[in-house]
Amino acid sequence: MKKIEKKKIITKGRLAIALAVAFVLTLAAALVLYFTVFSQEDEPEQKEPPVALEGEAVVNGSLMAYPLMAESKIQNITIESDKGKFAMTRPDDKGDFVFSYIDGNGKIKEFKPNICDVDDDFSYSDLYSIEMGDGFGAVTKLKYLCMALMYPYVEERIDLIPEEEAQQLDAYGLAEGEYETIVFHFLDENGQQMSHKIQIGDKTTLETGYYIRVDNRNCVYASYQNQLDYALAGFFSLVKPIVISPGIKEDTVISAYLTTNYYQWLNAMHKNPGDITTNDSRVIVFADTIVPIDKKQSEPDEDGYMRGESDIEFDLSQYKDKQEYQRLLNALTGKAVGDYSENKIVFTLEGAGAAIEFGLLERLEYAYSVTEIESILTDSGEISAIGTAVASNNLVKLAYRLKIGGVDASQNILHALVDLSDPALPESFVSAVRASSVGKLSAPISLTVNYTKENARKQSVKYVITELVGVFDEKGAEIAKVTDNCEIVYRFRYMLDGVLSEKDELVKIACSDKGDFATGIRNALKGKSPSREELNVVAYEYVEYCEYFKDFITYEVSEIKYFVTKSLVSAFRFQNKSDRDPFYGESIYENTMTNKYSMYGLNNNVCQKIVNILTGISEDANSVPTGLVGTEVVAVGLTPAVMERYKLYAYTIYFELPRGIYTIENPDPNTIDDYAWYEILGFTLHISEELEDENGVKFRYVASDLYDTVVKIGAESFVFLKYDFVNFFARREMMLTDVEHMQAATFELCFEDLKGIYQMNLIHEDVYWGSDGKRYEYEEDVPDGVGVESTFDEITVVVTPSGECTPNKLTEYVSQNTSTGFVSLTQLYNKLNADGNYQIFAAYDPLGTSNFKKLLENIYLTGYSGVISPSEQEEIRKNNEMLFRMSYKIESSAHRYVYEFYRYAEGRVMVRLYQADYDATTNTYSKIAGDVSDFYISNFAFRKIVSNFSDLLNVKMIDKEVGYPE
Amino acid sequence: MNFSLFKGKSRRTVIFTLITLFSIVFLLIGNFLLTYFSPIKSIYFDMTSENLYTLSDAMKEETSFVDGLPSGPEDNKIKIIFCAKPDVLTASTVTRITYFMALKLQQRYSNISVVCEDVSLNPTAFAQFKSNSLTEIKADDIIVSYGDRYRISTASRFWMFDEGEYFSYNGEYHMVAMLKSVTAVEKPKAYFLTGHRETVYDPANPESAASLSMQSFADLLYERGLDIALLDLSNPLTPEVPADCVLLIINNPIDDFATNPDNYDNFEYFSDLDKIDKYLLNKQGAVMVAKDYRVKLPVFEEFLYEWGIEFSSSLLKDEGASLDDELDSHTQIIAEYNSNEDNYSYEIYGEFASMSSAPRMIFKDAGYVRCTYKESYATSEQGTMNTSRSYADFLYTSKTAKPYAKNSITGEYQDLAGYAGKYDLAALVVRNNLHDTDNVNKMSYLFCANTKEFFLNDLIGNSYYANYDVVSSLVENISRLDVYGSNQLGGESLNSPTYGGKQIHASELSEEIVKIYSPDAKEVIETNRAITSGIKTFITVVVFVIPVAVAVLGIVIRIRRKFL
Repeated sequence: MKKIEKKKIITKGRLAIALAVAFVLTLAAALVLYFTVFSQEDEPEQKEPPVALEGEAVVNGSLMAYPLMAESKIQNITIESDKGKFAMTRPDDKGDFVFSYIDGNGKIKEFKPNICDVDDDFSYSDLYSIEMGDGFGAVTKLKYLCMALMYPYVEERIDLIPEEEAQQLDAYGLAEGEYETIVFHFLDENGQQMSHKIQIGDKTTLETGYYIRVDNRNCVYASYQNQLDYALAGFFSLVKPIVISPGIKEDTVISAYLTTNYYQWLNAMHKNPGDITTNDSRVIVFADTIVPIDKKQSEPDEDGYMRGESDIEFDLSQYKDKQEYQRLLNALTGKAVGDYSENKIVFTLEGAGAAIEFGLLERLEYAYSVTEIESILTDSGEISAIGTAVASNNLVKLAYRLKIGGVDASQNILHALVDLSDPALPESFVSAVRASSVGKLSAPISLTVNYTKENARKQSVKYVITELVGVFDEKGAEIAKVTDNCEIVYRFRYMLDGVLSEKDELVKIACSDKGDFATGIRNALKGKSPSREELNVVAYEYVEYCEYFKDFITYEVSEIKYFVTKSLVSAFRFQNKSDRDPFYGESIYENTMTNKYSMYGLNNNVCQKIVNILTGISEDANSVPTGLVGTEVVAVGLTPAVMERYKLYAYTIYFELPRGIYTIENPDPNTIDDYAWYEILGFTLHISEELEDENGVKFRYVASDLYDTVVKIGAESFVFLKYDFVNFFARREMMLTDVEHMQAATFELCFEDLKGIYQMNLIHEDVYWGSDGKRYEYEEDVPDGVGVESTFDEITVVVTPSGECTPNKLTEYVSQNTSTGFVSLTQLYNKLNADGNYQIFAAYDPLGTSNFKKLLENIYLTGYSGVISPSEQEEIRKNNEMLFRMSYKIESSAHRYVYEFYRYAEGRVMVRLYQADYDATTNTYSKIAGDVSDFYISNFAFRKIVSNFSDLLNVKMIDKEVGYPE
Repeated sequence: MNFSLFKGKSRRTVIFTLITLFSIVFLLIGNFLLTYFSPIKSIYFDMTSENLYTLSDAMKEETSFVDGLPSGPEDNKIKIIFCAKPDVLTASTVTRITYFMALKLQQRYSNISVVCEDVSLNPTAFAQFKSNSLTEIKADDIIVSYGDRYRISTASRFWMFDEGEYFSYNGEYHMVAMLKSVTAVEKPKAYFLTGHRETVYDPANPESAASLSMQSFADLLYERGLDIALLDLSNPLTPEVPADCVLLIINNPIDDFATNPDNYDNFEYFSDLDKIDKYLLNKQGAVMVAKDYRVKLPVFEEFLYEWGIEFSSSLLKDEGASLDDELDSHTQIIAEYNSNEDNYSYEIYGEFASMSSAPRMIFKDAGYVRCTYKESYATSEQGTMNTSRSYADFLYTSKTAKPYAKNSITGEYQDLAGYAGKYDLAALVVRNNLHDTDNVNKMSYLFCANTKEFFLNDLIGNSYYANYDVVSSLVENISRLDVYGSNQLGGESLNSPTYGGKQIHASELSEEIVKIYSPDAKEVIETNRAITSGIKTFITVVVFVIPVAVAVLGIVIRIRRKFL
């Protein structure tokens, strides 16, 4: 059926109506939009100026919770948040804020890490954390916090209605126990100290600030200060996460890749009950520390002792060779980890005798009245059992009272340690004490000593200048020698009773300093020039006069919690060009390992990268060190508890950072300048194993003794901790010696089908090559008008074959042509290549010497391929025959470096290295130092060396590319 | 015949007209013959001060060995093949000088023939010179072939450059190297090593199971022009790898290469591995190794370790890039190509790597290999700075591959071994010996794959995969024998009196810009040369101005005679 479609008819009238309706609707919509939206914006905003109530202020038309103040007026800020309580205080309007925090024992402790004392260039503000997210990277977070306190702008005041106050405060996060508190003290316009207390509640609705309450006012403010975040982030966020100091501006002049000392240890923690302590471990104990009170203490004290219980770490390795710590070592060595509360380990360390202040007096009467023998100190421990006789024991701890000049020195009982073997003590006193026993006196014991400078115990102190670093005139220009009024920079150590203190300290005496001390120092050094050589000039010395009775400190250990042992992984120091060992002539880092690995050279790149990392220089770049900075501080105070919590016993690094580095110019333009420095900062870093955070990011905790902080650092910075010495730090080139330092060498072939001993003496002689291309033996032989193009160290290698030698061209020539049994390679190569009719040179070298150098170059460029395990080394030495030996004597060394080669596998040859004295007549070596064989070279490399040497004996041109001669 | 042209003309006019006509015809024919024969018979005058178009005496001496080659039919000749027609070749100085040198050689030696074939018009003529189906032969390529051996070089390689500009022509040196390379071994062989229970293709026993399993690989070797033979290096009668060996294949050894340690103190003793090492080092050898990851061969692996390749004992599975199989094993891994253009691998299969959807290269039942050099992928060889060894990750897995270690109790391969990531399935170590006087690179190659399936028919013989093509390219590239010309020809040595070939004197080398140096090479000076502006002007005058002048004169005379 055909569908009939209805015709759509639009008439002109209908169209006109539709268009009119559409127009009207559009117009209406536009008008509505205009009046509802756009027109409102044009209305001028009527804003009421804020009204300041009591305590408030209006600044720039905005309300402030309290009047604006200058930062310099803020004296103290205390913050108490869920992250703990801490404070910042400063003594005056110019000083830096000093942090205080609550330590692990709940006591307020000032945060003054050691760096404050040991670094002359240190400013406390260097400890402030920098805000890196603000686009400047230069403003401290503390500054932002101060700004929040200085400019307390608020958006709105919300009055508290008495009957709804609790609900209101709860709504704003200001209910009791929910808010954080800032209290800060400041000086008002009149110099009066005032304070404000700010309670910080929830964030405002738009999170542009916080609801705060100020000074417990009856209102809540909506602050638009997000900078209060800095207060709430806690103490650690305000402390810069730095563990090694940045360089100073003087260091900009050179590539700062120096370290005077670097040590790296791998640690092992032993905490299983029954683990036995060793005499080089760090032992962590829980102990009571008992110290006699000072005799000047005015407050009465019950027993005359100060006591405190805490975890204490004793690093026994520090005390190992010190007699005065023997009792400590005996007490803590060989002890099992565990509880000793029932039978405490007690030991006492001896202190110095108290100084006698004679003043203008010639003598002072000290009247000691012993009240009790407390204990007897023996090498095996401390005996405090009542009734134990003193008898022949010498060290006795006793309680006494003291009168000085007839006046009671203290109202308290005093304590001291007496050494009965001290000849200064009167016999009667010694006898009386020996006749007594612990807890029981034989009779009242007293001792009256009229101390004079003659009979008092003397302690000599010397001031020893160890290095004169620099001398300058009044204008600061460097001068050659010390004069009467110059500026001097020097290092010194104290020598106490003949023992030098451990570390140098650096001091500067200014030109303007004309005091006795400065004059004395100048006199002692007068006429001397700066030098890196040790001076050991005693600038002055004095004597301290002390009592016979000595101070002490006693430890009562109730638990050995754990101990940590360490093994040295690597040790090195930067060495100036002038200091370098000829055998490792190219090595800019000296191996300072004290174990067998001291024989190996160091991988310069590895050392340099580590130094760069520790000083905050990006790898391989030469720039000013910015210090080693982590991502955040997680703890301060390196207590054993912190060390354990952050697993910091895994690795230890000691790193010395030279500062104030300057160059010592070498007049020879072809020689590298040496470096010196004004100051050394020694950092001990305690580092955790690699850890992973919740986002999978790997990091380590690193603690710094000088900064007293534990910081989090990206794990990539310390990748080198994963490796051991031979696999990472040891240089892989077998030999580094420059032939210019070589005086003699011996090669010994021990194959079944290739034998012989070849002793070589290297005769060095300067010759002159003129610009005419000719060689002259003496400089004066160079004709006028012909300049000297090169002064050349020409080496003649004299070879003496001995033993059973497999025939070769050299042995043949020696047997036929000389009666002396030796020949030079120069002579041999000339003879066999030109029938001796003329000299043959390769560049400036005689042909024979040139080939000898190629042989050395081959050896020099041969690297160790891999590492052999200690057990395997033992096995190889026992079961395999030595196939090849070479030894070298280097100038400035009395001994030889000896390399022995043992093939032990199809493709591997073990290399043994040691130092020895050599007897050429018997071809025997007496080992005197080192003996390492941790590495192997490939059989290919070994064959190439032997082939090259064989080629030398057969007067061939050495080809270092060919390992397998055709 | 009625010549109306001469009707009414004087006898003298007729004679001169005929002379003119004959002269024109003669010139045309002469021109045609000269154009035709001059390239063939090298009828040219060398007007260059460097004698660029003349064979040097050293070149004649160096190529004299060609006369000693067995002569035979045309197919047995050395062919120097240009991939463009002569007019294209002569239009560019870069190709022209080499083309004329080739013609001179052809003229001199009956054993050499020069062929010009336009590759764009007849690409199939070059099929035999393609190492894989994607190999591209370009118009400026020059191919030297002899029998099944060939070398391809681009024309610019015949030149030396200084700061991007043509500095000298060392084409003679380069040509000799190519000629010697293709003729060095009369019948080059690929040897399968035996003696360690390897799986080998035995040409004497092609029906054996092992041979049948490797038939496709054998076909590939034959196609690449290599004969196949077996080699037992432990045989005392085989003191070294034979001189005709251009490729040594060590496929799936089961027994280790251990020798008696009693021989260690015998310096002249050479173990099997010493012989292979010597072959690689001294002969610029090429070795291909396919080893089963399950088989531990400490001595052999130690040898490979020294060369730069370490074998894992784990099985690789790649869930993200593997072929489906019934067991869902993920062990048929689709390898990824190395797309780094600086990598040796790219040099070999770059055509595949650059494709947006490249054919798949499959590894089956494979472990991984890795580089043993400590801090980089290249290291100096022991005792020298002139020789380096470079590790090229030849083919690798996707990022989702994971190694599965063998459970020592159950014997199964389990997910114990490590992280998912990219693992190298095969690697190529290239030893590059830069000769200190010749300044030429001498290459040796060691290829390793950690699977026993690498050479088997399942992969090489499967036309759906790229295995055949990639292995073919690999074989073609690493089995070339590098032989070099004498320093007398220049080489590339700085010690060479000519600083590597014929040093260009003139600033204008036709369309190329060439600097002109003083004899001490310290300053740029102007000197005369063949096609200078003056010469061009002279040629223009001779070729164009004089005929035009004559023609104008003729017209003038004609008009004057007719009308005046």
